[in-house]
Amino acid sequence: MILAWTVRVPGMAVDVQGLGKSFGTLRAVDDLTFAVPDGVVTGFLGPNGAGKSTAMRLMLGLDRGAGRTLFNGRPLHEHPHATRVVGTHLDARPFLPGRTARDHLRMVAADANLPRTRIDEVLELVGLTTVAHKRPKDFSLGMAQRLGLAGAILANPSTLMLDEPANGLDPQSIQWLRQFLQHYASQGNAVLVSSHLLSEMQLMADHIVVIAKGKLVADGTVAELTSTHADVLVRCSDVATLRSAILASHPDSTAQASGVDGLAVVGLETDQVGQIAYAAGVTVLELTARRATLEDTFFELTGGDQQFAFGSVTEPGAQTPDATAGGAA
Amino acid sequence: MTGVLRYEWLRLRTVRSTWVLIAMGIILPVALTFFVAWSTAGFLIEGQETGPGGPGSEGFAPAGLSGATVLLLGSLLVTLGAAAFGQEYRHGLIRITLAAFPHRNRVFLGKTIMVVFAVVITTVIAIILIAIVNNIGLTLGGASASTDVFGSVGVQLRALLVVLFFVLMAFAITALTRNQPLGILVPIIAAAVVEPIITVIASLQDWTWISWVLPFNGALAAVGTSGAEAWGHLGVALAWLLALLIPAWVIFNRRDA
Repeated sequence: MILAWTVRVPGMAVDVQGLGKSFGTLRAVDDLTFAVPDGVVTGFLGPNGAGKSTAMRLMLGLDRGAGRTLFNGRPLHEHPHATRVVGTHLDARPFLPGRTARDHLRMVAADANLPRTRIDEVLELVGLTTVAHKRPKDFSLGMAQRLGLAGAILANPSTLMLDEPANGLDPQSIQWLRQFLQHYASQGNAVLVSSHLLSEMQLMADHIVVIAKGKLVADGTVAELTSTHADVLVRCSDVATLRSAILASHPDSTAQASGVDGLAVVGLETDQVGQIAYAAGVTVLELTARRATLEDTFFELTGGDQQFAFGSVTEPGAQTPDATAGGAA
Repeated sequence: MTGVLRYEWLRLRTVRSTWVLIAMGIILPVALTFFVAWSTAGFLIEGQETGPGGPGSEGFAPAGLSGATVLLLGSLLVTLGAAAFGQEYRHGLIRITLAAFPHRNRVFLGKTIMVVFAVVITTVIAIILIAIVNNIGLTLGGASASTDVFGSVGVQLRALLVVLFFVLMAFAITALTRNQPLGILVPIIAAAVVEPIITVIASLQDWTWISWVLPFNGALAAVGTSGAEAWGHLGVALAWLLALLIPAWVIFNRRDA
């Protein structure tokens, strides 16, 4: 079922300007500025504690802090019906366990003057028609996420803001969510989705915003971000000669040894490397363009910036060198 | 503003606990009134018709309202006040509410209006039924039925205001603390346990002024007294209510959701 309830006004987008928020001495969000364009899905990425959820709450005015966010050129509170401007799903179970799913949506729709059929339409869309009159206290996490999404899209807002909407969903539901959000965005809406599922986000999002320690570290299309961290692997008969030739002809590029007979070249395309090798009289054994995944890029951009870092993992029963040394002594 | 009121109306009426509380808020005080009227009718026959609670006083029969009845009614309905903010903070609904209605003043006002509306309707029904059942209880107990079933409008109005005071105190305490159990328990324990103990200790020391400044004690005294004294007690209660309600409103506007 494809959602098409009202005609979209093109050009709607979200402008985030200088958001800032501190919790005591911790700077959770620091001068964060980016835009969420309409027509595409924007992925909002960052390690745990990077400030994604705080930033989303600041955008909506739920948390008090510095900066401002414009929805379609105006702050949210200046729109007469906020539910038609932005639909949100920020918590995994944002409903009263004792209120039926349908009544929850009736309440959420109170300001939008929606036709009665709209609630049934949305419940059918998210696959909750059979439990519409049930209380959601026993809903699984996946069903709760669907109900949250139903509340967000109820008034067909021009912007969707979803915080980890894929948590608890099975693979089929994740695929449905991806297709739905891409379709929703293609109708001229802005969709901002935070997620830790990087491989899923690579499939879902066209535009990526990455933050770490509350600061913006990357903002661009998926292709732009992954190409920045791409390289060319070349295996050849004479690594030293090829490396010298590459650096002589393209001083801005880098060529690092990769294995016994390989070089990882950054800053050149495969055809350029092939031509240089030919000119230098080096036999090429393998020439491969390597695209970084979003995960590679994410780790490179946010490496070491995790707010709550894990300890190192050791083999069960293995002794640390210090312990071994101590035992020997 | 109509959107907020519609939202709050649906929030109130779409949970079973609202109807259970309203039903209990009507049935239990009415049942208590009937039992008291029926069991005390014999004393009235013997001519004990004066003093606190006697038919001759404004503060009791024939309306059947007493401090105990109002305390019971108020204690049952405080949950309606506490739930206005308590449910939302407890279950994360407040973020949905404030994303839908970014004007926090309107949300605060809408919640206040809808809680007051529900409590006024419930209390008025309870007061009418209490008056009728009181008369029935007296008649069945052997006393002659009063022709003035509803008694003084003044005492009934004050009873309504005292119940509202209880509920709005719970509303304000929950808005301040974001803790629904605290919002429910503080008014009940203060009114039924803490303040009576303080009053007894104060009377032993001849500090009668203390009973005037205690919020819940003063509010309940407004039902058992009459005239300027009763309205004076209500004035003190109102001052206490404003002392909590205004900070609750200010903090609600400033704090993170």
